[in-house]
Amino acid sequence: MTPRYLGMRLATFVLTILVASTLNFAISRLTPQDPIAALLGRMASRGRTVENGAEILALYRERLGLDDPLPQQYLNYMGNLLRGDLGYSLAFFPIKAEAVILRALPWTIGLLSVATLLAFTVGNLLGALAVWPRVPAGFRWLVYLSMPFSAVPYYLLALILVYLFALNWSVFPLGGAFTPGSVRGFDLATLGDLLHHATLPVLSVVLAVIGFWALSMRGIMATVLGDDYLIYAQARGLRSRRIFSHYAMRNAMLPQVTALAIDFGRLISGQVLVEIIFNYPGVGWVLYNALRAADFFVIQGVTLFMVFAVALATLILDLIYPLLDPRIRY
Amino acid sequence: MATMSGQARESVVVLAVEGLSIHYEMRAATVRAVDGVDFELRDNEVLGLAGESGSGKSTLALGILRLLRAPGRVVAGSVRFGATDLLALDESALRELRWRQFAYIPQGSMSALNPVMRLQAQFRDTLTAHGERMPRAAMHARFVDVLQGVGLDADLLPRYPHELSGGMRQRVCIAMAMLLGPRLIIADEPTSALDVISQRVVLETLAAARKAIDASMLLIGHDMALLAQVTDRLGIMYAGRLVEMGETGTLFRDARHPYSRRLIASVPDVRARREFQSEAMDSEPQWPLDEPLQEVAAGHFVRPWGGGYDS
Amino acid sequence: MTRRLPRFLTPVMTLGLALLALVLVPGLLGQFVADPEQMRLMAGGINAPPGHDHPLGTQNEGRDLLTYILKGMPNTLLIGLVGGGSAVLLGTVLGMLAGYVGGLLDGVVRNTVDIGLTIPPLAILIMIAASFSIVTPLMMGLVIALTSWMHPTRVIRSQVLSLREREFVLLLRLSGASPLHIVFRELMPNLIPFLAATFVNAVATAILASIGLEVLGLGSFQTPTLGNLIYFAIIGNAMWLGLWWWWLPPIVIFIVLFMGLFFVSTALDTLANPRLEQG
Ligand SMILES: Nc1ncnc2c1ncn2[C@@H]1O[C@H](COP(=O)(O)OP(=O)(O)OP(=O)(O)O)[C@@H](O)[C@H]1O
Ligand SMILES: [Mg+2]
Repeated sequence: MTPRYLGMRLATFVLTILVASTLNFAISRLTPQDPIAALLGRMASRGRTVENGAEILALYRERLGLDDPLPQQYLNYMGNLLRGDLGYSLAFFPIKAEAVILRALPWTIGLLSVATLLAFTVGNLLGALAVWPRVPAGFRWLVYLSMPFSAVPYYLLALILVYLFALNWSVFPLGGAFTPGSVRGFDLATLGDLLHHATLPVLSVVLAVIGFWALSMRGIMATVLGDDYLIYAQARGLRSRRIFSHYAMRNAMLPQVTALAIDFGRLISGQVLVEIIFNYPGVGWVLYNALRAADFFVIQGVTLFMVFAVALATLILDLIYPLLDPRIRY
Repeated sequence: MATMSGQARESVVVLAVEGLSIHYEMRAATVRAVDGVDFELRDNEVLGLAGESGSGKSTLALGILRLLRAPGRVVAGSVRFGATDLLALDESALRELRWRQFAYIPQGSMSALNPVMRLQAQFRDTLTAHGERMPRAAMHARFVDVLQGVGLDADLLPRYPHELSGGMRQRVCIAMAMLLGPRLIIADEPTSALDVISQRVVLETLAAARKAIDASMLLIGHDMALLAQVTDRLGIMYAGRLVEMGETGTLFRDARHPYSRRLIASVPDVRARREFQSEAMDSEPQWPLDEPLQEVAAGHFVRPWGGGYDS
Repeated sequence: MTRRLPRFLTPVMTLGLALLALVLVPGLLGQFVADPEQMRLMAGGINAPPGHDHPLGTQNEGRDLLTYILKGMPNTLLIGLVGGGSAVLLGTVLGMLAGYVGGLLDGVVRNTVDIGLTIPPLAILIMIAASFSIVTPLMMGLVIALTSWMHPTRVIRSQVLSLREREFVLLLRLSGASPLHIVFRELMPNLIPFLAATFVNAVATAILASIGLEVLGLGSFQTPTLGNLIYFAIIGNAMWLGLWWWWLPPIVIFIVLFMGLFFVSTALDTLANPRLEQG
């Protein structure tokens, strides 16, 4: 990888964050009133009151420097962002917004990475096996079965899963990330408890996304099957398993990795909503509560976090891609 | 040859194809790509197979090797390799025969190598698939050996296919075919992607490498001049059928079927060959193909086309 | 060996259209038979299960749920049509101009799209909805379109790029036809199946985004929509109280709707590139 490409790629990353945070600033300052008053007002109109609204307002006019000229406000905002200062949480004053988000972050990252990896692996295997010769027809049907799920939004699926497995059959807990009041440590019981709570949230994401990966992999694999290097590998008497893993899958995965980078935004958005359904204490849950409490800086922080996470994931995938495909040289 | 007794002749047949028919069955139409082909390939013999583009040469090769992809399907006939009925063999027995007994040099040599794997890994896969266990150094020595046999340098081994030129890749495929010293090599236009000069050089390399391991070879091509150099016998294919077959020298001196004659008369010049092909392909078969082959001289078979056998 | 044109009404298309009809017919016509009185506070008992008077029961304020759904579906569909339609319109104009004109314009559009595609739309939508009040389905649709035109633009642009080099376009260019004429009169017809597939996908995306916002409590509560219905059901603890008639019907409608859109778009895709058909 040339330094030039690396520089270009990093520049795109920075530019994306810059554009998104500027948009964020612009949107909140385009309101006729100041953003916090607007938010508080709207919450009040929906029958929700925010405690010490007036105090907070006064504090934040100053904090935001709303009386400064706009360019000055923008510079302050950017400067604060650069220092990782997202402002105070209105709901948990005097805790900072970044602290609220950071506390929730491990849950979100844990859930998201497990669900994504699981769906990606299983979905791709399923899709590939669906067209691989002499594989039981059951796999083909599994792909068809997974199709409807991929057309349905996660969070709606999540509601049905909660109803069936938590409410009706009580197989899994209704929500949360762990049993309240349980002692947490580095032991099997804790791990079991965490997994027990994570199963339904993960499942609702996985069920929805598996079909997406399976379908596109099926199409890619159908083409790869007729590729010359596959026929040549078979002609050389390689074992079917070896051909599948190192010849067919290895090549068919390349476009899928690209697709993963593109799809990451959708994944994280769905995750936010799934957390709400399951009261899962991640960033999505923080966002939901912040929206209800008109906690402006936390809302802003979470949206910026979403942008940052997607940009970072895309950057990482872009940087490791040349390692997967030796033909790509930047 | 004609004096040889039936018994003795039988014992040296490496590959016997009988009445082989292969169809591509699609919704809109069925293409009879190979239609009742018979031939035998003897020990240490090089049999050339020539015919215009689309005459079914690759399909025939893939059918023999059991590498056909849907919608291609063998609808009739048999393929015997020595005493083994290849078409009846189960998957795992077939896998064990592959490469150790018969190797294949694909028409698409350019894209036959796995693009994301280093050459040495692809060579190693071929060895280990056939239970060859040996120290890394010995393995490496073996790879270097076959590469040098086709005039390639050992420092290619850690490279990826896209880092090689077209000619190098075709040579790699030839080297790969020599790896286990097979009894039979089926080479499908092993030089098709090269310029005229490289074609000759690569073909000579292949011929020499084959000779070194005493393998038989089915060599597919449509350049008659090139085929003439390295084959013992020649079969002419037209619309999925053999229209003439005989010793290479005989055929060049005394081709009977008008199609063979045109093929032989065609100059080995790229432009002229194109014209010839398109003319032949445009039309329905110009000659009747249903009558059985007739032996017009010892070992020289021709399909009657309605004209006289004058020379 | 004649090349048959793919039929329009393939099994997948038929299935998709049938599912869509299942939602669209009551969704568009139901509002005229629904009695607005039934949506009033305490039109029936509180949390009443489905019964004779209220075929889908009532919620915690005693509003009739069937009426709410019949009144809400047109709004949800409107959001989808406006959001998807505007996104595709914007994407078509930008994509065609960028793809055909090329040069600086193309560079700007391409880079904007590339950066825009990495910003998750929900993040921007949340900020917009938290800062402005979105009061009508029309506004909701337009706001969603603002965050979702990038994908249609990219798809259309690459189609135009490949069409642009075809012979008939080259001939037209040589014959001095104006670029606008070529783009909109000559290229457009070739793009119709593509546009249709893109449109169906964009409608699904827009509805999906609107549900996301509404479930977060950022919808316009003055207008009934299916997403709002789900939000109120979550807020009202419908799930834990066992009031399945409150939260389940909108979800079932969404599932049927999204599957219908999915099948139709799959069928349109095969229509647009017949090569996908095999396999
Ligand atoms: N996968 C396929 N599906 C359908 N028809 C096919 C397929 N492969 C080959 N055919 C048809 O079978 C016939 C024979 O093709 P084949 O590739 O065997 O010809 P060939 O003699 O090897 O030609 P070339 O000299 O161009 O390699 C042709 O009419 C071709 O169109
Ligand atoms: Mg061929």
